[in-house]
Amino acid sequence: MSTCAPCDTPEIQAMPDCHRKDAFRCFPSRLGPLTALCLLGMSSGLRAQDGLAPRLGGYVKGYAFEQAVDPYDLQRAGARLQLQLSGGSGEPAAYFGAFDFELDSASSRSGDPLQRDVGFEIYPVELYLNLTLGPLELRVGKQFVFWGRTAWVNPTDVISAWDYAHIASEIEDYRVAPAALRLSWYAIDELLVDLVWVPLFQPHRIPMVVPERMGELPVLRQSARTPDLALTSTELGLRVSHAISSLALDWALAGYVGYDKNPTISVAPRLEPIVMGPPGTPPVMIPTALIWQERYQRLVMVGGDLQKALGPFVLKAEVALKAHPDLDATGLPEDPTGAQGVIGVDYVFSENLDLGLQYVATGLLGYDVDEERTRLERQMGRAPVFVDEALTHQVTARVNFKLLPELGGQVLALYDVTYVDFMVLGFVWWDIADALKLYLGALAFGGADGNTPMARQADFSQVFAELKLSF
Amino acid sequence: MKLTFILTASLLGVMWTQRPARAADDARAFMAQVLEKNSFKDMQGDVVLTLRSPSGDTKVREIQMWSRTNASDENSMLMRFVKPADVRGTGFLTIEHKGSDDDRRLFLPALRRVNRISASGSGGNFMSSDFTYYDVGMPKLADWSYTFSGDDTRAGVACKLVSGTPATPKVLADTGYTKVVWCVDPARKLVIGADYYEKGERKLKVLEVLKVEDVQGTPFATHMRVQDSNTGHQSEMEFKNLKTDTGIADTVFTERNLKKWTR
Repeated sequence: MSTCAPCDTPEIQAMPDCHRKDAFRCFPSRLGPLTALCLLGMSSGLRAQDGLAPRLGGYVKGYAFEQAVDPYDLQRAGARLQLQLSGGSGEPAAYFGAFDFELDSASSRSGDPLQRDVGFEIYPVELYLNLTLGPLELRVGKQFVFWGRTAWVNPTDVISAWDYAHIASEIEDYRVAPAALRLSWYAIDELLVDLVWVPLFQPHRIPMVVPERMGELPVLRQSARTPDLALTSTELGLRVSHAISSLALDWALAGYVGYDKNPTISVAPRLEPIVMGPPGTPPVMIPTALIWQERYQRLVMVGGDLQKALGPFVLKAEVALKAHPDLDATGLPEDPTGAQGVIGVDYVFSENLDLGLQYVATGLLGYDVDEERTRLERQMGRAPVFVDEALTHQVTARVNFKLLPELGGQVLALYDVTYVDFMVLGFVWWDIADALKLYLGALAFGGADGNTPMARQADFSQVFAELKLSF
Repeated sequence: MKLTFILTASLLGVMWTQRPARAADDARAFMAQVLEKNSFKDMQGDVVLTLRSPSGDTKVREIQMWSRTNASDENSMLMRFVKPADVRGTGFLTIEHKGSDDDRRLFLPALRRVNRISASGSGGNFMSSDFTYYDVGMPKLADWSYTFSGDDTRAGVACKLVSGTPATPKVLADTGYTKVVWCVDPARKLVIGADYYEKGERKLKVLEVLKVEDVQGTPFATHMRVQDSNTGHQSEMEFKNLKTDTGIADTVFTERNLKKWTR
């Protein structure tokens, strides 16, 4: 259900229709270079103005991602140039743009809905203008908005979508920056009030293959029902956070009204009248196919987070309550209200080793597993292979290590105690020279039962290599 | 006569037992002049950190730094990394609080997040160099117990040797140093060299001051080198564009400023 941690997806997931070519990541191909050129031109024109002179930075990297299970496809191979342009002294204006110029050439399984566009693409990772007036800051444009303090699982982090299909080392590989308007008020003593408005909906990108058949019936996938382009369909978030230096403590309260970025899947039979007798016999409505429909439900979230340094430990906690009221009066069934909480601790053993552990609990309120099983069975015409539990437990572990000053790595593991499945992301890095880094890593999914949320992603396990030069 | 002898002997005995304590007080007073001679309340500048491995590999890091001492003698420091390019924009903010843990926060531009980090322990190596965070920060007189331990000459300059041992177990745990021997130029009240020891008498590293400049009338070591006595690895720290007492605002040492990595 939609209150799940990353990769804890509903029973049947689907890719949004537009994978790359969406409103945000898939900048229309002609506008991408045009915007980049405009930004370069603007920055050139502004160069004479003190403080607005642009600074150019970025990175270039080559990468290869190989499927780690049979048939061991080369999933991605290519090169990326990211150009970052920034300028402005902050008062009153500053700007930042990061554009990826990507050449991606990879083979993939036929019919793989995750097949990336082969060829050359230009798209903005972030592109925004920052206006400052004393304690107020207004940031307009495509920008990452990250809420929460815990690691990897953030119940209150509901604004920037996840890209679960391409988890790799760069933030833009696994998160999507929405176009947003963000008003920040830096009030007294490190108290921050953040108001975020997102006018265009961007769902999570979730890897899943829609089955061709379920039982005897073919599956017909319809276009996802995304929120209308209207003022009433926008997202609004408010967060109040405070860093109390003397206590080494941070706290925040957050609220959000918008849409769940996990799709809800409905599978309904398509009934057609079939005459099963001599002419004149009344037709009988018989299912001839299953209609697969994804839609995105309303989401109202309230939550908060806390972080406290205590000697060698940093304690963290985050909790959120998520409801799915039918604000758009669709009349369609809504997911149950859920709650998710995370508590964790980071510990630094030494400069060469630090560890983070977390416990995650996710609960669905007013939810009955048996009722859900019956509903799904009625919907699909067969017993479901997986039904969400009302309460699930997960643990996460993160280890950062350094073997040499120029050689280290990180392992991140997420284990679902309830479903007995897991995700592990690990990589090593080698500082070959200043600003030149090699990453070798692997992402693995698995579980005892192949139908649980992470176990069914097993085909997306992969190994990868990246060579990155920053400038 | 006999009474005079007894009194004199007693007085000499008392003076003899008091001699180490007085010497320690003298050494402490001497080091107080050294550590507390800087009158400036704030400082900003650029730091160039050069790391040299025994095989000759060289890495250079450039950092912008702001620091300030408040009326309660608490230090705040903001460092923003400029080079190499893969760490550009990384910011480290530390605000000292007497009587409680320091406030330490790290901004990672690649993740667009500020993380609070463990407040204990200054013994970690600063930017993988041979300087520790303690070495980079403002030294504290109260952290050490001092005694004079002779004279020496470093780089042609005669200096007094002052030995320091951790005044508390916390200092030992935080720094990892069981002993430090500073070589102090008595004329300028300036540390021009130091030997650091760990685990008893094992020499860990050696500090040399390569350049001293006048900063607002006070001699300031603007170029230093540390060599690891075991591995031969060297780190040089050079301060440039130093400005003092410019009235650095409170807003510099905030999370808002810490996150401003695009400038």
